[in-house]
Amino acid sequence: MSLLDIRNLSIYGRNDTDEAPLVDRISLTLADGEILALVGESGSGKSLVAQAVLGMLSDEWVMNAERISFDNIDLLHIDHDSHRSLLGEDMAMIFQDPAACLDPMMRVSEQLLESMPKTTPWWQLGRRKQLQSLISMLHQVGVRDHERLLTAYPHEISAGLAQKVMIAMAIARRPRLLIADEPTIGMEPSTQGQLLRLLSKLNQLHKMSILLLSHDINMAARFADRLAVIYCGQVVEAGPADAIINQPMHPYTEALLASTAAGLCRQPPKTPLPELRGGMPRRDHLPIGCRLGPRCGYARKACVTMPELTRSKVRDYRCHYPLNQRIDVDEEDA
Amino acid sequence: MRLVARYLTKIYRKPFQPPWVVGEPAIDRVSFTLDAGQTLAIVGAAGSGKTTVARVLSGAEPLTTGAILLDDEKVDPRTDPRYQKLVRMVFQDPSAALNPHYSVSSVFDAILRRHTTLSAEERAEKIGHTLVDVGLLPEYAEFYPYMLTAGQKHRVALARAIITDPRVVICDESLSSIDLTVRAKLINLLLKLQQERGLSYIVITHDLELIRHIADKVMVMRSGRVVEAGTTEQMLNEPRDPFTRQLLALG
Repeated sequence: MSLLDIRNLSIYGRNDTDEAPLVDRISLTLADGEILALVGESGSGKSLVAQAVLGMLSDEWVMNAERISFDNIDLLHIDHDSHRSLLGEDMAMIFQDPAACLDPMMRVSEQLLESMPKTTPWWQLGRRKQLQSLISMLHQVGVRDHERLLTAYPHEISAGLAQKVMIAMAIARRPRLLIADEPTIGMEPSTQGQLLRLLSKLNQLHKMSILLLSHDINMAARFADRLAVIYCGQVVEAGPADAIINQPMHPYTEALLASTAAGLCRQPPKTPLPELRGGMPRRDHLPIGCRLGPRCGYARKACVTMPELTRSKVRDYRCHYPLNQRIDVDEEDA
Repeated sequence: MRLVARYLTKIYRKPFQPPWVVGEPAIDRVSFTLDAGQTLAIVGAAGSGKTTVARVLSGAEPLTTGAILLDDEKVDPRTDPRYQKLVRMVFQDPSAALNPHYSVSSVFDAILRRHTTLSAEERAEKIGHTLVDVGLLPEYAEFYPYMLTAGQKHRVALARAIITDPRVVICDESLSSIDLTVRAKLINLLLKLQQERGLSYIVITHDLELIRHIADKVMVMRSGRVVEAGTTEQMLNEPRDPFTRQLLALG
């Protein structure tokens, strides 16, 4: 039984009538207790997918989907209040810019107390006891100096600490689904490792499903069970993490892998790295046909038509000439 | 061209602090030598004073004590126009560092007017050449920041640093928060410029693979002090200090 089921989700800008959608027919399923990573560069539309699931899409965008269901609840036709209460209890999100998401007028301890579980009424639970559970929560996410943190205002703490506070708030009520939008961006390696260990521990012990949005494919692959690689709002490749890392089928995945840390290791120092031609196309200048087409090193004649998502048993890919597979050369190309 | 830093120390004063109270130094007796064509990487945990070193070197903050020597000549980064022309900084977030009201050419033109005595046509030509050097078209001079993609903004930010023909470029974490395919392009560009012009870089980063790839020397900092410094090979293969070992093992 899948916990989260998205089918053919498209997101358009409200005012553009004929432009291509920012998110183009994305389908995702997330089983109970699974970690799925959505990998894509900035502007690929991965944050919009998360916002659509949480019902926080701003008025600029129009959403269009066949089905979005969470634990058999239809999120497309749910009223706003019940969506909000679901967001507090069963779903939680770690936002990208933690310092901007904390209330600047409240002390950190007050904000944390707000998000603690309210299973016992407040008159039975002393403030000291609440504070104790709060402090143990902070220790879990790797905060050592909690005394100073609790009395601080958000502008007084560093970005890394703010991120940890956000994570503590998100996991305080043990949600069933956690959406983490670039949780480790801009952090030092030691904090990064600590955080990912914490999240995978929560996943294993409490069966918390995680939807991770990231731009670092190697980090995502180490952590997640399955990957979905997104380029310009389309899923270009999806499948089990190790299979994608070891045998990428889409040229974009291959380029992403070559430019990550492990790719750098294989190169002698101070030599040029492999790179994709050009830059990410703007939304109003999307190429005809395959969206990677003009940048792809393997592009051929057939690439001027948009490839459809090919579904095999475990792997999905959107390419006319997938890599790491026996390729039958078309006669017109030969 | 040789940049030498001797015993750089910076103590920030808190507001309303009485003058006889001396606070903790943000950086404490930091020294290094950077030769032409070399890359120095500064590593350290958050709050270890890496950014303060960059700010002091670029002249954004006055030094408390210590000296900066350019070709064995003592200079003041805050006032010396020659130093400001030769040592330039690339800011961390290019979208925040570019003014949305000014086109690329007007930003570059202001820099050239300050640092050179070129005529208007020569300045326009120089802007075109610099944009080509960083892999953009000369037409981008008339663009405003909102018309550029993230990768192009990074290139413009780099072009702004190299337009005065500097010898040293300081990159403060500008490579750590960008998309990976854009980063690969930018690294290639930095290496190409280094080979062609003998530029020196001071790179502040916590990405060890990046250090392995581009750096000649590494300096590890902890709470404002230099814990260990040496060549990249030596530091990555046989780190002596326990803190360095810990930092490298986690990376």
